[in-house]
Amino acid sequence: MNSFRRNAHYSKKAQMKIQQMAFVLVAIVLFFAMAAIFYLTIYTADLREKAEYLQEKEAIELVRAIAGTPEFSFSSEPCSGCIDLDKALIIAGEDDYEDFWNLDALWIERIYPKPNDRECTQANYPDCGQITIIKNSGELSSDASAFVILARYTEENTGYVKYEIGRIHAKTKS
Amino acid sequence: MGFVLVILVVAVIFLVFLFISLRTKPEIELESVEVSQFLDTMLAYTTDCAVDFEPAYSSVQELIAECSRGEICTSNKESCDVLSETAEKIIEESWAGKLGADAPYKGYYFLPQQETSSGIKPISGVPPILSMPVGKCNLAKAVEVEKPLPGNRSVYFMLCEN
Repeated sequence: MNSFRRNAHYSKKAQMKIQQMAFVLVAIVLFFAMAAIFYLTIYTADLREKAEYLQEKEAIELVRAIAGTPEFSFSSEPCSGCIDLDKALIIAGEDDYEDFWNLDALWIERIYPKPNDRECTQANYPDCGQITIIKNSGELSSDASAFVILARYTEENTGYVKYEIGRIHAKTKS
Repeated sequence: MGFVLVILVVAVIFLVFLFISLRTKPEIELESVEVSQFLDTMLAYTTDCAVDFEPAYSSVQELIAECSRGEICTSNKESCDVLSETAEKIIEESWAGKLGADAPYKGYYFLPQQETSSGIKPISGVPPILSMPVGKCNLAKAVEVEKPLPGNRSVYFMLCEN
């Protein structure tokens, strides 16, 4: 065995080729690893964005669904997704609805026309800008809102139903 | 030579994956849902214009049709003027804080349209409501919504992102 090693003539060219091959293999592995890391970074960032998007979309759907519940829906005239502002004002005064939707906060904002920023009460309605159904408990939670049609009966000009523009806001319990 | 070929093939595959993953823009989709909801509420809004008698006040949707027929409100105002004033106020109030140079959107277009035999055209007499010149918006960064209305009409609303 020892005599074999002593007599062996290793080719320097072959050794160089083996080294070259080893370097190329290492370079290929490094290249693929870097490409995979780069792709995974982008992919995970995209996943996070998608998760946030789905959370936001779910929250918007939730507020739209709340607007369609019998507690809020306007039923005197066919109007899909309309909120009855008179009903909302009555619900705002009821403590039973505090835990009804499992929400941290729920309020309706009058956008146009907006007489002022005051909270609506039985005394100042409809000369007010916001109806709070569930007061914010102060916890950190995700906020969602959606445009809604606000319907209310007005006694002006012998009486008619007036459709206005509003926004329903909800803070979901995290 | 073989190594270069492998690198090129992998690079091409990687670029294709990158393009596919970056192509979908969920934020734009979410914004278009909000803009669509806004347009629905805007079209239902009861205006101050009654064409036949008070209190049969027209909605924005009805006012678009009345304006295209050149009708006059009982208050002696042109229905087109009421439509312009009301639509502009609604848009400005609804997107307050979100429109401007330092806001998410730099401007908007509101265009009532009519489908004719020669294509979709602005309704004659119905003024388009623009907050900026048409050419100033990069359509790739815009949220656009179009709603069909009765009588082969439609309404196009676009928010242009900064």
